Amino acid sequence: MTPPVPSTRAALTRARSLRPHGTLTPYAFLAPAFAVLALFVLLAFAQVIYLSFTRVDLFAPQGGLLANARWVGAENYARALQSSRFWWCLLNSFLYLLVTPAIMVVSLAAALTVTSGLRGLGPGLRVLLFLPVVTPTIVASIAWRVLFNEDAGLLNRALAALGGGPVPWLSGYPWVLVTAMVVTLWKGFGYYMMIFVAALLAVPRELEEAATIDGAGRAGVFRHVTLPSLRPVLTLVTIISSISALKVFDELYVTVRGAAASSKTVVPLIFDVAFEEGSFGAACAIGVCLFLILLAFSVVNLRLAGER
Amino acid sequence: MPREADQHPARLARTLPCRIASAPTLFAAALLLMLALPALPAGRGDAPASGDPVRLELWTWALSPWFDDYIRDCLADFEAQHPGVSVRWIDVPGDAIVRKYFAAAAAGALPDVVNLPDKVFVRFASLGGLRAVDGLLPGDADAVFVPGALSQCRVGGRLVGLPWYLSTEICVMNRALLAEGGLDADALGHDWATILAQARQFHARTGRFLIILRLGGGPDLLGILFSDGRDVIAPHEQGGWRSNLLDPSIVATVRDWVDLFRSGALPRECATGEYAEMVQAYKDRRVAVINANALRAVRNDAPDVYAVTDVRPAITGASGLANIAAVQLAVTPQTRHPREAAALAWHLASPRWQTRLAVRASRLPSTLESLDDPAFAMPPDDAPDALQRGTAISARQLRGGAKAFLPPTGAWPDLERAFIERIKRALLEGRDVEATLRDIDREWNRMLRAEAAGMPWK
Repeated sequence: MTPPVPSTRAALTRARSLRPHGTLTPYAFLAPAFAVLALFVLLAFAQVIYLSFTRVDLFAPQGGLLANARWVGAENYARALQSSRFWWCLLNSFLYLLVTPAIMVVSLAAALTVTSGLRGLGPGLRVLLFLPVVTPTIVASIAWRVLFNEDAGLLNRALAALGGGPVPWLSGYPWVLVTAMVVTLWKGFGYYMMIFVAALLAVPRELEEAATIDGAGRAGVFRHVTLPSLRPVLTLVTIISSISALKVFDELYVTVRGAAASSKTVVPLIFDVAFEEGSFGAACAIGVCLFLILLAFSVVNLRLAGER
Repeated sequence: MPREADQHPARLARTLPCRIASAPTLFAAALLLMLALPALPAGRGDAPASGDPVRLELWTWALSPWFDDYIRDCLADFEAQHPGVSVRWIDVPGDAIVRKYFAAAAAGALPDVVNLPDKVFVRFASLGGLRAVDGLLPGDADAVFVPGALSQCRVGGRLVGLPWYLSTEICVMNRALLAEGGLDADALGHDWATILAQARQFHARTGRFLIILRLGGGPDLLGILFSDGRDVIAPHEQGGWRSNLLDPSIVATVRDWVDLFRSGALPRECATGEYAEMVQAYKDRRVAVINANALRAVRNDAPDVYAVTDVRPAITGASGLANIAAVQLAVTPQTRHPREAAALAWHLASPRWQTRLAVRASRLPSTLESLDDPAFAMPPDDAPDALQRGTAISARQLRGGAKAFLPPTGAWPDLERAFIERIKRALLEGRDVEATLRDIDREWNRMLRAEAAGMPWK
């Protein structure tokens, strides 16, 4: 005989009686997380939006951004949109998105290699390929800067040995973007590889075996079984890596430091405008523009993924 | 009796009293509270009452760890002379000072006294980021400091800082590399026009580089124009200043250097590199000459290169004058203790402490009394230590009228930035020099007109 099932109302009443501090208790539990979120995300975001409509007297005796902000309406947005520098940087940000497919291909290939290719070498290879992820970006950028040095770097020397001319990796446009992309790719593919490894290990073996029995080759199994199973992960990696690419900073700031301002992307531009030129209002306006672009980009990405 | 559907947990939950304090209400209240907090002034509160202990904050520029004990001794001496005043010292790395200063100003957390390199000093002074110290100093600055150095600290007729240590450019040469190109210290040109010709020949003969300059990564091209006595800005008929960049002699000089770079006779870093890259190229034996007082860095980091290094007065133009690179001390506008802060700046820049610092740092002091110290007398030509000879050459150039290549306009740092950015593109993208200078000329005139009208020029 099964025990009697208590009614939902009875269960709720009993649960309510267990609450020692009334109905606000759940919010009390949420409060710490909310406070952190509010302080470091929502508040900062609200401030950025407000400051984007102001001009700040940075050196007023009583300091503080908000206290010394003077409302100037949409002036900062107008200045940003009229500036060729902004549009160049925005164009470069979109060009930088080319690193996303490269990262996906390389990280997926690496994931396939460590999961199925070299048996016995898998764990060691995984660690080796993951090492760039845990290498500080600054260290990686400096090391690559040495390799890319235009007069004495390994790459240009190798090109010279092969009869090629020197490539302006660190100064010429668009080579500076290519250089920074190489660092982003090297630094980031290990992270996405681990995501793909987890997804590949979750693909049911039965499906692959069934496809093999049906006569599919390795390429056929990959195309018709493995790849469709990875679709949610591919969407995730596309969105994450695209947003990272649009927000790239370290690689451009360190590896190709000194390159013309018009060969940077939007985030280094925001940094320069705020901390090299002291125009916090203008920097905030550019930041809001980038946020809107990222938002639109993510929405489109999710829609497309949903349609598929 | 409730219907069965009403017993669904979600439906029941909506009937609970917590509806009164719904999540959106709580969220809005918390957000409003959080927003209100930073709207309060972030300054340091009301002015202190007299007799309260005073705590000052000092930022120095790239002195730690080499001069830690010196600074501590100096500050201990200051605190002993000013009972009730204590000083907190923070050293800021070389390339971070601008960013940190802006960030601290935004946070209302500027130090009381700051040590800035000259270009940054002029920039912040022109932005109103430094406090005038006229009437706050415990002594007569005109009687204490070298006039050329003190004049750099006057902006708009007000004294907004005190000169600290200085150096002048000197010519630092790798004898071994020069010999490879058939040159020696005597044959190397003393003026930029000769160096330009020799750089081309040297590269053709050896495949190496004679010299590295910050053409697109720094202000060296403007420095060459200054040292040639060319005025890049000229007085405007209606007051203020106007650009003079389209003067044919200026166009010709800029074109010569850009052409030299494009011919491959200068390292690629000339287009993008800053001071550190310039010194690194010398330490790596990739260039034979740099026109900068980097002897200490060479001695510390590349002793084998230092062993074959020789020094000579700076390469100059027609004026024969070397550029002074100076470092200033200033009181910030957010200090609550302006008088004590000015006293601290005065103490740091005093002859007694400057002499000790300059001797130790192989730099020059900015006080007249310190310059008379035997340490800054010219050693014999065969003195074995290049660093010592370099310091003495630098002191001689300072007495001989070296001056800072800084035009008398507060907009200069931004004019310089615009020049460098566009020249960089001309160097890298092959844009015509005259067209580039026309663009810069337009931009400079816009900035200078805005400055004359008392408006922000950016």
